Amino acid sequence: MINSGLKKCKFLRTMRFLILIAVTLISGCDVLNIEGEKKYTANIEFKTSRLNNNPETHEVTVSLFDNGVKQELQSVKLNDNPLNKNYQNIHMSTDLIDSVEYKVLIDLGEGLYDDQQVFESIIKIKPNPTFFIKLANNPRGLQASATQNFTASIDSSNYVGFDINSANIQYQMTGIAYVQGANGEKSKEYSISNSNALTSKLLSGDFTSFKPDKLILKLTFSYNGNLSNSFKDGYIRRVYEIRQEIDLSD
Amino acid sequence: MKKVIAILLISIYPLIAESLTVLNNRENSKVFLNGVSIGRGDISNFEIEPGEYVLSIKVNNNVTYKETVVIGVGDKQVVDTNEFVGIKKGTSSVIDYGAKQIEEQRLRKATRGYIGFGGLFGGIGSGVSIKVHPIDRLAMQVTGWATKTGGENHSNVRYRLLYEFEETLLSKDSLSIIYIGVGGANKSNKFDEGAVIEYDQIKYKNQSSIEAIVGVELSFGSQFYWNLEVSLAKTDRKHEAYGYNVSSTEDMETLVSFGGHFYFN
Repeated sequence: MINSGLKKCKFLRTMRFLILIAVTLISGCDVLNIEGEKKYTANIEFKTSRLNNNPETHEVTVSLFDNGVKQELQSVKLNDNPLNKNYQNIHMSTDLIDSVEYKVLIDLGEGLYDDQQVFESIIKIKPNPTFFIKLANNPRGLQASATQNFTASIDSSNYVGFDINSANIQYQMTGIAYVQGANGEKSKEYSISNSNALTSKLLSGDFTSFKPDKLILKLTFSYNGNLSNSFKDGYIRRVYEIRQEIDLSD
Repeated sequence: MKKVIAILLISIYPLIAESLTVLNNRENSKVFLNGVSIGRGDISNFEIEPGEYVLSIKVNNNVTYKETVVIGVGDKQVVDTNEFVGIKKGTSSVIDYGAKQIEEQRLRKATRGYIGFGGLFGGIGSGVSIKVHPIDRLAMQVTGWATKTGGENHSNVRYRLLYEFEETLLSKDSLSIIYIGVGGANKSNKFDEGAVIEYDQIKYKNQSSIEAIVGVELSFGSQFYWNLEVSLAKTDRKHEAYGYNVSSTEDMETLVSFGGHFYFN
């Protein structure tokens, strides 16, 4: 009788121990992501912007998402230099130098079980594309006219051509042009490329109900680098943004 | 009493005598009965014995009309030969040459007037057409069209001098007319300049030609004539892109056109 009672008690203790191990293993695997499932989407952007003839500004922004939910990052290092933290984004202003390889190290911080998750991605900065404008009194004259880096004002009787070098350095370009009135009225946005020219009809207001006094050119060049394979999805992207505002005169 | 009867018979004889009247407005025509000439043009009350006769009309020795006429006792028959009857039952189905010629002229006169309106399609430029015959067989034709759709202005004009050198009867009331001519054409497309242009975007297109034409017009018993024509054209195509000089190509081309005109007369 006593023997049978002892046996029953031993069995129950063994079972309790086995259940405890099982629970620990299951919860531990989940917290540690031990099964190797990639769960984070990373958006890493190296951006250089230029407004008119002003100096370029640079910014690196890093965001991490888990199932669409933005994650708070512990720290991000760019070539071992910590980036500034701004809420959940990590960004910095620093010169981005052509042909330099930048390593991004993302630290997700300490978790519930003191686990630290670190991710790493690298992008090599390609030379920035170039962008020039050309002016002439007719479309045919644009082909032969000299390129200009920046001009503060142009005559609205001009045709405006572009010289954009992005194809041979694998940048994708999206460019738009529009005119703006003195009171901030805005025309339709027109896509532009190397093979396009803006006509004097746009600059002089034939297509708008207002008299344009400013031409706005916005170009965005970008290419994607290789994201570390420890991420589920996302991008590592280089962006070069140019915004040029040119006064129009009669 | 006998005298009275004789006078009465003589006076009423013309009323009971058989006669044949032939209506015939053909120029230079001779009317024959059983191969014997009985006169020219219209024949009125030609006295004739009852019996069967072959009435024929010849123009320049070509038979243009032939019909068997039966005259009964007291008949005063009128035969209208101006109505075309070229084929007799039981005889050849081929119309007599002379009759055919007369009928061709009759149909042509009856169905074609001085001026015709219609359309011409194909070739260099389709459009509405006006055709004027200042002289019988000579025609001047102008075809044109102009549109403005979106940012495109299109216009074309075709002008020609035509000579109708032969007509032929296809069947009863169906006439075909063969014509030849020379002409020219000009077609242009101008595109409005937008806010943004491409250097290789076409700004202006022009096509001009001179052509030699041969064609046929067909009428099926009405004043409407269909036409089909082939022309050998020397074309000059020019186009201008916004960023490039005018380019030009010259060619010899065979063009096919079709259309139709309604003739007023």
